[in-house]
Order: sequence, then C-alpha cells, then structure tokens
Amino acid sequence: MKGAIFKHFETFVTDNWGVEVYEEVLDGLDLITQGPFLGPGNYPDEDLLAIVGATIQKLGIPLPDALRVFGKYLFEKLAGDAPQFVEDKSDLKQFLMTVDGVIHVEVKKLFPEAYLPRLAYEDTGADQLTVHYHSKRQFCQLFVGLVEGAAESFSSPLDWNETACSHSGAEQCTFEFRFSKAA
Amino acid sequence: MDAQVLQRRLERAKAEIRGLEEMIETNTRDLFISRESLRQANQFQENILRAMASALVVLDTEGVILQANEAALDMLGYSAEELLGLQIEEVAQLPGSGSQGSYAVGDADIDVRLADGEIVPTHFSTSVMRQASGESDGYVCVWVDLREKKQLEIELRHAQKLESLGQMAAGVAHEINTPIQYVGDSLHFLHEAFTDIQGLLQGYREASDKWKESPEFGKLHENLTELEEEADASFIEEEAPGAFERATNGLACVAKIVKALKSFSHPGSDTMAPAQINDVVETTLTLASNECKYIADVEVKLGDLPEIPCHVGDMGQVILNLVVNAAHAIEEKNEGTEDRGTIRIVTSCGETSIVVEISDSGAGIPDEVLGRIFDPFFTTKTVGKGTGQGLSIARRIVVDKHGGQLQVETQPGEGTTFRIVLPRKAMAKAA
Repeated sequence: MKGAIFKHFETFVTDNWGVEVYEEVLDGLDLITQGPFLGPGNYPDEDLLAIVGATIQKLGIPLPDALRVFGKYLFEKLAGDAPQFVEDKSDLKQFLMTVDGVIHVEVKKLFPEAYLPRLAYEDTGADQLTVHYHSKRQFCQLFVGLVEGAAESFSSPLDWNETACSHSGAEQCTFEFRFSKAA
Repeated sequence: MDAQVLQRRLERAKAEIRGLEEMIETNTRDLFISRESLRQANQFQENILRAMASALVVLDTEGVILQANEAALDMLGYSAEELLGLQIEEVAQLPGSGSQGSYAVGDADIDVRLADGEIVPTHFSTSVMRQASGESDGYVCVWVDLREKKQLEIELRHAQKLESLGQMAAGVAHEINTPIQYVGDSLHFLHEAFTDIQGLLQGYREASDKWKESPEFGKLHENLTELEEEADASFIEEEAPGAFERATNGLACVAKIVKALKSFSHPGSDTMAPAQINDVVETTLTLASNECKYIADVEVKLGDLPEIPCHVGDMGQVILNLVVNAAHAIEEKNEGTEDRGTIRIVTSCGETSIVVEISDSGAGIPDEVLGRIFDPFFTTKTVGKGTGQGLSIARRIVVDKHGGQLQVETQPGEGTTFRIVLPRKAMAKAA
C-alpha cells in the first residue's frame, strides 16, 4: 500500500479524534515497517490493517464503517492531489467509468509496482451503473466510501446496493449504483 | 498535549524528512540515469535515422508528414520546415490513398514529386504504427530512390547489347583470321612464284632473241613475241610487284583490325589487372579509324607509361567513346565543307597518376549544356547518332570504377579536350 494512504489515514484519525489517539494506537503495535511512512513509498498491507484495526478497536467502530468513512475522507484528499481526473468529468457516472481505464492506468505509469483493484462496468441505464470490484485486499467498503466521497464532490445524490460481496464467498463484489440529478 | 507524544511525533517528522530527502536523492539519481538513458536511446534512434540510406517519413493517421530523416529531405529536396506538416499527397500519391489517411500497407513502385517538380521513380513501403492498444497511430513510409537502379538497368541492357555485339565481333574476327592467314601465305607464295616465273620468262626471251635470225626457229620467235604482246606481259611485269605489295599491305591492315577487334571484344575480368594504356589507345584507334579517317587527322603522342591496374575493356570503351565524340564534334563543325579537323591523343605520366588527353578541333560544348554532359541520356546529337550514354558511362568507369577523374575543357567553336586521369595505384571505389 502506498505511504500516502497511511499518511491520509493518520490525518483522518488526528483530525477527527486527536493526535493522542493515533499515537496510542501506534504505541501498542509492532509493525513490520520500522520507521516513518513516506508518501511515495510502498508498505505492507498488514501494517495498514493493523493500524486501522487498532484504531477502530480503540474507538469502538466496526471495520466496515471505518473503511467506508475513511474512503469518503480519502476521496477528497486524492482528488485534491490529482484534480485533473475529476475536473473535466460532467457527472459522477462518467467519472466512475474512467477509474479503471484511465486513473488506474496513470497510477500504474507513475507507480508500476502499485497493486490496484480491478473494476468492471455494466452500463445498465442512463442513471445506473453496475460495478464489479475485485481485489485481493477485499476493501469493498473502502471502495464504497470512495464512491460516496466522489458523489459528494459531484453533488450527486447516490443510491447503491451491494448484490454480491467477496466477504460472503463471492468471487468479486458487485455494486449497483443509481444516480440522481443534483437538487 | 503530552510532551512525550510531541517529542515522538517530532522524531517521526524528522525521520520522515530524512527519509524523503533520501528518497528525493535516489529519485533524482534515478531520474538523471533515466534521462541519460533516454537521451542515449534518442541519440541512437536519431543516428539510425540519419545513417539510413533510404528515405523515411512518418505520417499521422490523416497523412500529415510528422517526421522525415535526412535521406528523405535530400531525396525530396525540401527543408525540414517545408516538408513537415505537408499532406503526403502533395509529395506522392500513395497506393490506396483514395481518401486522406487511408493508405494501403505494403510495397509498391510509385512516382514521387520532388520540391523542384521533377518526378522520380521510387520504391515505397508503408507500415502502420500502432499504439499499445493496437489502435493506428499513423504510418511509417520508407522510400528508395530508384533512379540509380533504373540507370544501372539501362546501362546493363546497353552493356549486354554491347557484349553480344562484342561476342559477334570476336566470332567474326576469329572466322576471318584463318582465311587471312592462308590468303597471306598464298599471296606470299604467288609473289615468290611470280618472281621465279619472271626469271624464267627472261630466260625464254633471251633464247627467243637468239632464234630471231634463224630460218629454222624465226617463225617460232615471231609467234612467241605475238603471244607476249597479247598477254601484255610487260604491263604485268611492271604492275604485278606493286599489286602484290598493295595486297600484302591491305591484308596486313585487315589482320591488324581483326587483331584489334579480338582484343577489344575480349570479355575482360571483374577485377583490375595491370595493363599498358598506350596499347589500349592504339587498339582503340585502329577500331575508330573508320569513324575518323574522312573527318580528321589523328595525331598520337604516346608518353612513357608504366602499366597501371585497370579494367582494360572498360578503358578501351572510354577512349573509344571520347574519340568517336571528337570525330562527331569535328564533323558537326565542318559540315558542308571539305575541311578536315584534328584529333590529338597524348598520354603522359605523373607521380601518382597517368593522363590520357583527347583533344579535338570540333565545335566545342556550349556553356549552357556543359554542366549536363555527364548526365545519363543527355545528348545534343541527332537521332540515331547518340544515346546520351557515352559520357555518362565513361564517367562512371573512370570515376566510380577506377577512382580517377574525367575532366573537360572546352572552347565553343574551337574544340574540346577530355582528360582522363587514372591513379597509378588501384584506388577504385567499386570493383
């Protein structure tokens, strides 16, 4: 996982619950990474999961909820880092459909070693989109949070339904999104 | 906030800064190495493009010229600024280019319009450039200028024609050679026999004169005298020696021409061999004498030359072409008059080269055509008198095959001198 995600998670925790909470979480962990997390670096997924797990345990938040809230927060940060991927898109659906074929391709150019989830799309209607999410990390709730963050960014009300989930034995997670026009 | 927590965060922030500094340093070094590799790769590609003898042009999907190597600019006669951005149809009609941007892939012979408007034959090869996705990104076109090849093909046909003529001439020469020998032997025999018979005749005359007053043989003497007068024996005795001499000389002349013909039509070798250029001049003049004898006096001044490495047959052809040209130039100048011109051939030897000068007192070459006389197919001669190949081939033989020079000096109305300069040591550009 990119160091930037660790840094964004740290900011997410310190902004919402204070520096002490994050430091206490780190204090209690024996991470694989011996040193600071640097934005452009790559670090073991296990370290992020350990930090996230210890944080939610300390705060008493379920992991899926934590990942989803973090995803929403993360979108704002990532969009701030690379606004060009968002700015020229007319709506949320158009943006989502560029994630796998454009954004992930560009990320791969910059960070060839990065592991990225695979997204497949089914355009099921003008205001609908089915997305199949496949990742060995199984961060489908993080994905949902990211999509919700994007919906906020586009001021686009969003309904969604997860019809299949890898945590329940499915090969991949499937989300059916329904978009409404902004009020 | 707890001071200990702050201290820990400060330490971590410092470590982050150090880590980022190292990362920046590493990335900067990697970037430098990558840029250097990229520069070398670009340079390598540029070198390849520059070294290519064939013209290479890159088109976008609409047929607009995006890139061209130096060979393309040289061949087409455009500067890069003029060529880049042009639609390919302004230069060449590519196969399959019914509409812009739709070109047939593969090879074809097509005509190309150069910047000066000249149309030249080329071999054209088109390939599609594809992106990683497989989508067309434009076309790569490679042109090969066929002018030289076509010229060589023509020269080859010309050479093949000359070769078959040469073979025929060699065959005729061989066939003539044998009868010449026995005609010569027979003539020699007849000459000797005539001399002997002359002696015998003289003996008979002396005997007959003694019988003139004899009553017994006087009649016989009269009969013999009548027979001698009828046979015009005195005239025969007077003229026959001259006739024998003329026949012998004529036969020697034929034998010399046959020998020259055999020598000239010898197929020669692909490699250069030491040869005496003075011999080549003499052989060639024997063959060219018919072309010159009614038009000009030929003056020959052969210097003391060493043997030099050369293609004897080719050099014979060069000298023959120049001598025949000289005769034609004199004929053109003196047309309608009884005047004769002069063809002067001088050979000499320098430190590093030998020189053959062929001068004529002909019409000279006008300034406006002087620059084109070595161009293939350029001729000012009337139809049937010149193909425009002679000087072109002569230049190719002297310059390209022998590494020599073919110089020309001319004075319109006064005459022309062609100077063949051949290196004494082999330094041919091509065998």
